[in-house]
Amino acid sequence: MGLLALGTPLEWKDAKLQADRVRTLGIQQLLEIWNAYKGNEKDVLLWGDEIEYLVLHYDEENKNATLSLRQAEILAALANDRELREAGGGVPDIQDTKKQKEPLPTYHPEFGRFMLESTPGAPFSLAWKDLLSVEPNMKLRREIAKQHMKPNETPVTFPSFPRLGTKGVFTTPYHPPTGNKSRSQFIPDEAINPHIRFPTLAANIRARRGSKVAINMPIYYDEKTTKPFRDPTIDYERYLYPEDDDVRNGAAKEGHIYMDAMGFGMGCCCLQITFQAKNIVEARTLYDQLCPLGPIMLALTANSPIFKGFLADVDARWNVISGAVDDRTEEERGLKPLKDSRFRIPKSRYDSVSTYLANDPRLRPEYNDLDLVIDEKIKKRLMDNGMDEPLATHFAHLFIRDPIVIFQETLDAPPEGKSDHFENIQSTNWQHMRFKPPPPGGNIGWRVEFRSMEIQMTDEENAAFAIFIVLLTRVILSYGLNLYIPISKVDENMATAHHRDAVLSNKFWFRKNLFPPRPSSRKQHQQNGNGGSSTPGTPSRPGSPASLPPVEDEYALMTIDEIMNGPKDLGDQDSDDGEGFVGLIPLIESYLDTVNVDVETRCELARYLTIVRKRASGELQTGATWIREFVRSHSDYKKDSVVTERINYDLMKLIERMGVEGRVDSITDRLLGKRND
Amino acid sequence: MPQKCLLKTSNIMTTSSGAGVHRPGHATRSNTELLTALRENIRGVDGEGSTTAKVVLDEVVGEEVLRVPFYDSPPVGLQEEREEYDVTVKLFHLPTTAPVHQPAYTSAAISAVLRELSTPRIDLLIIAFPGITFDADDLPPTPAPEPIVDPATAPAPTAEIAALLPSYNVLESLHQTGVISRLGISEFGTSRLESLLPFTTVKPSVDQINVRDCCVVPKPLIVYAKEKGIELLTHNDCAEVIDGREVEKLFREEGVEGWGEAEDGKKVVPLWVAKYTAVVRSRGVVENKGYIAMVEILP
Repeated sequence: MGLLALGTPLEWKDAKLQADRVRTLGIQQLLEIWNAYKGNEKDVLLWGDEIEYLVLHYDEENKNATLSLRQAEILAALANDRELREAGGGVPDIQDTKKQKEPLPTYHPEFGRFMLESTPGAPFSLAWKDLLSVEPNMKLRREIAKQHMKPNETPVTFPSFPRLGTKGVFTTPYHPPTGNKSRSQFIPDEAINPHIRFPTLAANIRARRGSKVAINMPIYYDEKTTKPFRDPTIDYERYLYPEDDDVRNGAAKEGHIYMDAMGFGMGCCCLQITFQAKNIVEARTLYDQLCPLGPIMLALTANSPIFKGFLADVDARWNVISGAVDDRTEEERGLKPLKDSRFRIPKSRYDSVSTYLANDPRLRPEYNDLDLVIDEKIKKRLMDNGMDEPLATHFAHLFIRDPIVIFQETLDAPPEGKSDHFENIQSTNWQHMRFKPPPPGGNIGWRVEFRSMEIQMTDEENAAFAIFIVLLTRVILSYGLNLYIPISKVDENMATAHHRDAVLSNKFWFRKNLFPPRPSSRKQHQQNGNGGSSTPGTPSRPGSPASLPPVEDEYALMTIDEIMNGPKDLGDQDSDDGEGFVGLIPLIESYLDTVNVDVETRCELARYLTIVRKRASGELQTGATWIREFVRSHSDYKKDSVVTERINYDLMKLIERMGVEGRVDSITDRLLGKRND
Repeated sequence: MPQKCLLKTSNIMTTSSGAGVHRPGHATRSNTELLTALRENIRGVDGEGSTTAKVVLDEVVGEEVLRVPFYDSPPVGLQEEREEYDVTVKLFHLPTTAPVHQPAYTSAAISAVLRELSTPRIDLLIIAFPGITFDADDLPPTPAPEPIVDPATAPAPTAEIAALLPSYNVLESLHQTGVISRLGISEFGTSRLESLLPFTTVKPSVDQINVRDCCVVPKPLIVYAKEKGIELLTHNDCAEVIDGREVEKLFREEGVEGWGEAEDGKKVVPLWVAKYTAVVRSRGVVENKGYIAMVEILP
């Protein structure tokens, strides 16, 4: 989350009247930024991760683990910590910016009042010592956070609190779920960060939608689960708010766990990685090339098999968040004919990317095969002001959305030199990649954020996946890899990635040949060699469209093991002609063989790559599989899909230990591998 | 008369469809990489003033050389300013050549790479000698007292070190003239390093160890290297980087000028191989990687 402006937020009925104005001002700000920064060149690679924590509170007497709602106090304690402040770290709003010697990590509020977000105090570079400092830095962040909590509180890196929204006590202190903002029958408003932006977000999403959000995740049917499963925690007889009718009108689906509030989604923790590219061209290339990796990495990091106290038949959180902020009206969702709404919109604001945006000759028109909804007037305005079509289309697509929270004060202030209106739309489009223009006035360049991964229970895993993505970007740029597949296939993969054990049981669409085509002659190669500002490694124009094979021949269904480790059967893979699919990990190893790496770094990187490699091959389990097995083998489990207080308590205790110690006895062997494995 | 012949791959990062990529299940073979990329480059000949092979007076080598392939256009070089890059060159001396020729080969190889990248200098030059392979169990023979050696009074170098010193001296003089910033050697264990160092005026900054040994580098070597300011880097090159018969086969298969399909008794004897990489320092992007090799064709 960015800086949190204070002010007077508009209720939805007032905000919607200002939507056009915010969009107009937002586009004005975007054009200002674009004009100022489109010529940026040679920005270095800087990158950083964002790690989100749940803050737990243990009731040792009753053996219950709950969510602590002391976010504000903990952040204040962190900010007030003198040492931290002197070192230049702390909470961004409050820190004084005088000294930046050994920048300590920074902590940020999040939607859930039981969450913290941490980022490194300064971005990482590609220097090997920086890569090796990622895991220690994550450990340090966890430690510092812990030091500012009460003895019976602890931060854990876990995507979705297993008993969020259950009937029992799941927050400390307890609050009944009767709040007016969410109007949820499961989550109290007191679990939302009280900063006025957040309750307003929840309320305005609900108001815009015309009902509460409705999230239905399939139940995992175990031996003794009632069949068909009808979520027993739903109160059909509540008459507190008009939205209580939702469940009486069929909002909850049979066979599913039903959730009715933004908190179920925005209360999830993610692992996000942001890169600075050398220029806008490279940023757009990375955005497109990483896009097909989103679902693959979601399946590989799957860590969310439990929602609202039930084992679910999915392993990943993504769709829960997607549903939790789905502010589309019935007209937009296609349930009613269009009357007041402007568009039919097929996806939530939080969903997979719908359009590639690079200005890249490799981007065949067939890849952008979704019926993209755009605001034509905005596209025209951007193009009239010199923006090229793919980028203008991208922003015209983001800007079909309304701003959800508008602060009155921002409407009265001059828009120049700022990005607040632009960000109002941009940063409430939560797609699995984010293309981030530079903040005005600073010297930060064009950035790309990779957003699909689930947070892992240990810092070793989080470091492994973060470093994997960073190295992969270097491989993509160095070898000029082409990962394009039709974007509808990325959507399909995103759905597949949720399946229970998708990493081993499902196949994913992936491009068969990632390498640039051979230049047909030297002349062509020469011309491309003089590309000036073009990305090194960006391959040549692949000849005339007529010479290209049908798009359908370019991709195939593959297992994640094949995608990561390469095909097992190497029968006709003779290296003679260089054809054939090469896995992403062998590609990274080839890259590491090419650049100068010291032995210690290479050995450490091998440890991280091993985690990714073995997760893909099934030698190691995903967090989701491991947690599901933990629950199912717990003595308190009745084989009825219910994750009881006691199971949750034991699980959280173990996860806390893993967060601090990494491997715990032999319990974590199938997740992390044996010590020194 | 033997005919000297210069082989070139061009930039294998972008032109060879992953020729440089390690494929699981295969041993990583830099020789395969070299041959695959060379084949690509020969196939890229488009006939307009270019040809698979042509004899030219090579100003770098100082004699007539057969170029395979031959392009009439100059090398592409680097795309950005020189300071943006780390240029690393690894020079492989081969078991097929006599040590006495190695100093001349060293000069020629470095000149050829400088020309290929259109750069006046190399950041790191690593020299690899035949027959020297790393031994993870290699320990210093005794807890040797640190010898303070004056080359004038020092004991004579071992035969192995004596054989490679002339080449190393070439690198030292190129270091002094600023052509090479840092020197490196490959596959040296502690005792070999101890034998070499007293006879150097410019100490190696780098010792390259095969990646399969990177997690089992013996402690004494780590300690010794740190003390001497030598960085231990990894590589994944095979012991035999080029094989003359493979090159002959490739020439015949690709119909290189002067090579028919039938055996005619012509032989290829490799003289040296240079592998070069140019990496954009601040972004870790490999922009250029390739091989240049000199072979001799015996009629």
